[in-house]
Amino acid sequence: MPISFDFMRSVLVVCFLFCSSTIYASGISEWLMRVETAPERLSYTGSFLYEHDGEMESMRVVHRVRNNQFKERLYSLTGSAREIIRDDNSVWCYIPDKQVGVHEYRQSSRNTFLQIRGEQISKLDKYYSLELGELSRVADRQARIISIMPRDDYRYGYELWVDTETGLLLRSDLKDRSGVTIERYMFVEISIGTEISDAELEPMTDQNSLSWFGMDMPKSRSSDGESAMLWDSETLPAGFKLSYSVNRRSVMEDGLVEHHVYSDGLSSVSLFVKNRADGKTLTTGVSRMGAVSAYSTNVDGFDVTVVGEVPESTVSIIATGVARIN
Amino acid sequence: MNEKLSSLIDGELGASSVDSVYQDTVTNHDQLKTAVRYQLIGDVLRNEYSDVANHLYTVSLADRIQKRIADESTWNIHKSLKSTDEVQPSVDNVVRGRFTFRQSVFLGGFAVAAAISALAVFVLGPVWSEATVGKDHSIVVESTIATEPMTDDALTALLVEHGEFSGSAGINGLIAYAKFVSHDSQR
Repeated sequence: MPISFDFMRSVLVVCFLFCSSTIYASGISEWLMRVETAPERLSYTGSFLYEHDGEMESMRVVHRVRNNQFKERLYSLTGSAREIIRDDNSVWCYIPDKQVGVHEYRQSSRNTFLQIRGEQISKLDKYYSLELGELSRVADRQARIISIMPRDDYRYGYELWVDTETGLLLRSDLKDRSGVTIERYMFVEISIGTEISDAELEPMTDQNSLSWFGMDMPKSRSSDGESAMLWDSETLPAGFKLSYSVNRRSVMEDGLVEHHVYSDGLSSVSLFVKNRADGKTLTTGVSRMGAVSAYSTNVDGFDVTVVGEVPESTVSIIATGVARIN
Repeated sequence: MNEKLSSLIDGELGASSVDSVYQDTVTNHDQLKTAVRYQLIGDVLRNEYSDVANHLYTVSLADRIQKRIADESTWNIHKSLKSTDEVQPSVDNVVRGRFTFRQSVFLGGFAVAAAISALAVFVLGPVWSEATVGKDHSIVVESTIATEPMTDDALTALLVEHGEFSGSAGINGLIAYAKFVSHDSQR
């Protein structure tokens, strides 16, 4: 039976669309992988703007990678002279106006840009529309625009400006589903690949002028029964799954804080469950700062707080579904 | 007393008087209301008055301050760091564990000097906005149940912890830290 011309044409069209889609997705995957690994590969110094809630602030970052180890200093160029210095193991917070310094051990080395790997792109495509955009310019460098828009109201989207030469993220616009920008980070000046001295990573505040506080290392989930996962949310929006879980001892109060992270591969939400020793309970309600939403409530005498860069509906749904695990 | 209260809000009160005026204010309901009124007047004069501020000050300010009084209390207890030789403070010199002295508070990883922090909310207003909690707060204000809203510092501390573990989006993982610096730079 001869194959009709129309059938052949349809097959060719389908093949073309499939191949185009694959190449398209693959291209975005490669770009996102470059974004993910750039801070692990590159030293840079730069100033960036942070816009949120009608406010605009400027900050400076010094980021050094040497012998596969990184150290970073971040400080505000306006207002209070707060600064944060962190390396692979610790975070040091200098709060001179309150005469306080805080040291924390870092429990995660995953604090890079996107928790995206190539194989996750196909899953992301279910909840986001991914598109490789045109070339643009940020901080006097050529950048490729990547658009990641949500397909539902449970997550925000991003428009990313990625340095074409290095893969470093130069600008990130967080957008709601209608395309309105909620929050923006943008480098206005950046120097990539330059040698960074130890002096550039030293704090401007005299450490001896501060009182220092810190926190113990968290307990491993599997180390003992006390660290078992006791709480979970039964109402996770589509695509969100448990990606990380840890128990920490609260310094302020005598009790453990159970912390879970749920992620759809791009957006993430943290659930904190804390026992209250004072008999009080947390007021139920939503708070918001920039793109971050938080929902606090009380479940069986425990403080439950869900925080994440997601719409209010997402933290509300997750928090209201929190219950003890049977 | 009102003159001192006004000076306190304007940050012009002498250090020796701050503690007593502060304590008087937070334990005296009428004086607390006066302080709120002064703050609102100041906001209007500075064109900072808004619906959000109105909601926060009139509905939950008392709760917020009372919470801070209970948790954070007075003005300063600072232990000077002993080590001077290291670029970063020695881990051994960092105070760890549960703080038994009431003057300091450690909010999920970030210690916040007590009274200054309390007044930061009192005077400057919070960074976090309570977008949809009006009904809940109204109920709580009238209720006899011991409930309290999450403080701004506590929320910010949780945000930092969230950023540390979640790989939140932003410029190279800076987001949580940038928010922290931003949050405090506004105070």
